Order: sequence, then structure tokens, then C-alpha cells
Amino acid sequence: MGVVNLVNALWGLITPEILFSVFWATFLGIIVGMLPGLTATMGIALLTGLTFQWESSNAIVILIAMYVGAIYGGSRSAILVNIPGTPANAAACLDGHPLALQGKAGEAIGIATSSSFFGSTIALFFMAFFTPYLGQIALRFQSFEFFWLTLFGVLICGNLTAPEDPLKGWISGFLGLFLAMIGMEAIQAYPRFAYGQVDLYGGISMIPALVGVYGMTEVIQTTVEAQRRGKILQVRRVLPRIRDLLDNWKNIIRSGLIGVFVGAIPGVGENIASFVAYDFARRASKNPEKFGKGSVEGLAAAETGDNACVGGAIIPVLVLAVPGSPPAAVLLAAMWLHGMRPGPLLVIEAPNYIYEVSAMFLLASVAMLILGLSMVRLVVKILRVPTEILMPIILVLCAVGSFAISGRVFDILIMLMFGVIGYPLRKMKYPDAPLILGLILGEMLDENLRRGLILNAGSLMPFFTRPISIILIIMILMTVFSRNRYLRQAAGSVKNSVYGLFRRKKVE
Amino acid sequence: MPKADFIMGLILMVLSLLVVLESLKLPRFEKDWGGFYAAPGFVPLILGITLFAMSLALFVRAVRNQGYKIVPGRRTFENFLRSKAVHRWCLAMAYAFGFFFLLGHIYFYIAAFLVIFAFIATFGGQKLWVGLTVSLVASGLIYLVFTKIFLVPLP
Repeated sequence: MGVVNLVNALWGLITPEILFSVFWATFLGIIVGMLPGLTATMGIALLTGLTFQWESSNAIVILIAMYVGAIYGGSRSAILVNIPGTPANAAACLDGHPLALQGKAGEAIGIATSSSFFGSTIALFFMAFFTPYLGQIALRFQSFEFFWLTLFGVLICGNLTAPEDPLKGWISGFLGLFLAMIGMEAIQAYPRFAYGQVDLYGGISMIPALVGVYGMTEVIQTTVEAQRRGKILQVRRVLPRIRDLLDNWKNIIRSGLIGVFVGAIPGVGENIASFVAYDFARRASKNPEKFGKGSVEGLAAAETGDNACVGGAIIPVLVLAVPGSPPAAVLLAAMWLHGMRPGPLLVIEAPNYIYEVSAMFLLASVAMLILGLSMVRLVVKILRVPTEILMPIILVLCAVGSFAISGRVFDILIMLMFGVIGYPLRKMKYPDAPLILGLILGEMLDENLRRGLILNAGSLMPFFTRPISIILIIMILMTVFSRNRYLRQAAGSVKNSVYGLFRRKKVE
Repeated sequence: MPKADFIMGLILMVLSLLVVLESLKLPRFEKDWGGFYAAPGFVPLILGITLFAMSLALFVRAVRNQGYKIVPGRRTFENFLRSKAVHRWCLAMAYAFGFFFLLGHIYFYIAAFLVIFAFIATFGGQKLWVGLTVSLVASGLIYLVFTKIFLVPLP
């Protein structure tokens, strides 16, 4: 049944217009991903504004193609210049560049391309065949569960994106939640924290905020820190060796599963997925000493993980309207702008939409494979564009992208302000992702908490007694207390005491 | 970075207290909606209190790590004012906000040309004519592509 729906959806998308859109958007995505300073989030945010007036299926397929291309494209600069094009490709630098230094740049790009395609394929399987079942579970979510889910999303995003200091991740997340409170609230339509500014009545627009944090901050950082690119290595042949791929089949499947799972966690994103996949590959490898020195296993794991994460991140967007990564957050915003209603009701109102999005993802992955293996030399030339020329052009594009949705110059100011705030926050190690996730989920958290209380005359009991709520509360507690040293020591002592009861006593 | 955490902790504590106070000032609509939990200020109040608690934890941690030793000497100020990174930041901000203020007063492609040229001339090592050519072509292309192909209105 799922296969039939997927094939039907794919057949419906195979038109010259859609195929042309897929290829040029994927190509643009590869360039965006490849150029340090441009991120997938920024690329999707800019294209959202630019394709706002286009037909919705064409617009969404362009955004998905940009997403897939950009996450893959960063591996190019990672391999050739040792600078990841996007944060998702940082793990690819560890083994991709050493391989290039050994004269194997072509093979490295070939492995990265094929691994990315296999990662996408694994994610496609979950998107097309498991999402409808997850949608059925999501139908059981009510206000209480959505409240805990949004809180869990912000907390785990803060935890995972600031592993050295989760407190800063949580502060970033709660700042984002507060920023979402600005504007007219959903229950009494009362304007909060607007102070008479009509432009603020509608709240802080998501796209300008995203473009500001991910685009303008990058422009400021690159300009202030005068970042320069290193020497770009030459590439000859780009074709993966089949034997390399067959030797890594277990690695690829494991990394794909990790990528999908990490992608489904709200707000975390592709960089975590690629590093987790890389770490697991190193632990499972028979040659862990080769990691960091040009290991094919390491490169394959990193690239499979990050591209699988793309599909994984789209799953919660479709069934819960909660983004699995910052680029997925923009995709969610774009779906809303085009009149789609992702969330639990999607499986009832538009069940075929899941298969349509899966088919779009498949087309984008195939385009990535074809373009990735064929247009290497041309794309590498673009890497030579100096950052001093690129950054002001990006600034102008950020202004256009911010203005395009609502036609308000105020949105350009929002973009600039988020860029100005984003740079010192980044320098002080406050992660961007929880801030953006908080901004996106804040309204959901506010509305569901108050609605739940209003419906139950102020009683908190349903928040703590419903089964899914209890599971989410346990996950929140585990997230918050997992880093607490005293609790970990206490948990360790309890574990040892319990195990000790079952250990055989030594007879002397 | 204890010193940065010390300052940030203070700023966040003040900000969160302001959020709490402003939330309490919002109308409550208790008669119509049953209780304070329905009030527009309810969730911002909870967020403000939580933010205060977290920023207090950050502040206390910074104090334990001697982050309060932030009184800069004269030399620190001089080094800060002479720092190339600070100069670059000031110029980048001037160009970005200058571009914003020009929008709506002059044609978009002229404002785009000026900001791109300003960046290249200040931060790039290219010759003047290269900067002028790139700025002209880039601003023209952006204008044409977005107005004619994407049909996007420009500011």
C-alpha cells in the first residue's frame, strides 16, 4: 500500500517543470552548502521568500531539493579545502581532507556522494513507510502532550547543541520561547510586549529571524574574523569504488539509522547526526587508528549520517509540526505559508501529502547523486570566489529574502537585529538552534498550556496523569538531569549496589 | 569564559525580572476565562521566572570562577579600541544599517551597489575597478533575477 502510494506520488511529480526545478534547486543547494558562510538554513529561508508566490508543490520541491543539496554540498569544501561548507559536514573534514591530501580527492568526493545518497535512501524508507504510523500515534496527542513535547524539544535541543554547557543551550531555548510571546496571543488576541508598535502585533516573523541568525551572523563573523580559505586541492576522477561501498555496507546502514533517529529529535540537526554516526563507526571499526587520517569508513559514516538526518528531520515536521532541525524549521514555515497544515491531522486531511513529500525527497536525492558525480570541476571553480565579495552579496540577499514574504522593511530590521544579537551569543557559546526552535515552538507551548488549563478549569492533573505525558515527563527529567554530576554518581552507586546483590561472592 | 558569563548572567537576570514585571502588568481576564492561568501574562511569567533561575545559576557559577574580576585597566581599553576586529565590526555594522536606512529612500539596486562596493573596497584586497565591476554586476543581476524571474517585490 505504501509503495503504491509512493509510486503514484512520484509519477505525479515527473513533469518537465518539477524535474527542472529539482535539478536547478539541488545544484544551487550544492553551491550554497559548499560555500563556507552559507548554510542550508539560510539557503532554504531565502528561497522560501523568493518562491512564496509560486505554486505550492513546485515551491516545496525546490526547498527540499535545496535542503538535500546543501547538506551534501558542504562535503566538497570539507574534502578540498578542509573547511566544512555547513556545520553538518564538519565530521567529513576529519577524513575527507586527509584522503584528498593523499591524492584521492576524487575518490573521497565519490564516496561522500554515494554515502549521502544511501543515507537519503534509508531516510526515505522511514519517511514513506513509518511516518503514517507515527501520524496515528500523533493523533492521540492533546494539548497536554503538545505542551510537554515542545518543552522536551527545547530542552533536548539545548542539551545536544551545547554538550559542554547545557545551561547555555537551555537559556538560549527559553530566550527563543520568550521572543515567541511578543505579539498578539492566540487565546484572547491581546498584544503582548508590543508597546504600541503595530509591526510587532503580528509577532517576530520566523523567516527574517532565521535569516538573521544563520545569514547575517555569518556575514558579521566572516567579516570581523577576516576568515580566509586555504588552498583548494585539484580533483581528477570522481567515481566511487564499488568495493569501498560494499565493504562499508554495515557502516552505511548503521549510520543511516543513526541519522534518521537523530533527525527525528526536535531541533538537533545534521551536525550532531554526522558526529554521532562517525563516533559509532570508529567504535565499531577494526581499524580505529585510521580515523582522522583518511579513513573511508569515517567519511562514509559522516556523510551517510548527515543526509539521513535530512529525511529524519522532516518526519516530525509532517506528523507533529515540530522541526527536527533548523533547516526543517524553515521547511515547516514554508509549508504553513503555502497553506499546508503539517501536524497530527495531516494523516486525516491529506494522507497522500506524506508520500508526495517522500517522492520529492527521492527526486532530490537522485538529482544530488547525478549532479554530485558529474559537475565537479565547474562547482569547484565557485569555491575560488573570495569571501569579501561573497559576504556583501549574501547581506543583500538576506535583506531581499526577509522583505519578500510580507513586504515589510521592518522585517529587514528584525533580520539585522537577530544578526547583531546572534554574533555575541555565538562567541559566548550560546547555540543558535535552541533559540530558533524556541521561537518556532513558543506559540505552541503557550497555547497548549493555557488551553489545557482552561479546558480542565485550572487542574494540572491531566498534564501529569496521561500516559504519553508521563513518558514525555520522564524524557524531560532524563534530559535535564543526565548531566548532573551528583545524580550520575548517585545513579552509579545505586546500580553497583543492585548488581552487587547478584554477583557471586569470592570464596577465599 | 567566567567574565563573559558574569556579565551575561547579570544582563539576563535584569531582562528576566523585567519580563516578570511586565507579565504581571498584563490584563488577566479572570472573570471571563476562569483564572490567572488563562491570562496572556501567565506563560511569559513562568518563562521569566525560569530564565531568572537559569541566569542566576550562570551568575553564581561565574562568581565561583572569579568572573567578577572584570574591571579593565586603561591598557585593556586602549587595546580594545585599537583592535582590528572591533574596527571591522563597527564598519560592517555601519554598512549594514546604512544599507537598511537607504532602502526606501533610493532605488534598491543603487543601495545594493553601494553596500557591496563598500564591503569589497574596505575588506577585500581587490583593485578598485574589480570592486566596481563586481558591485555593478551583482546588484544588477540581483535586481533582474528577483524582479523578473522570481517576481519578488524589492524594498
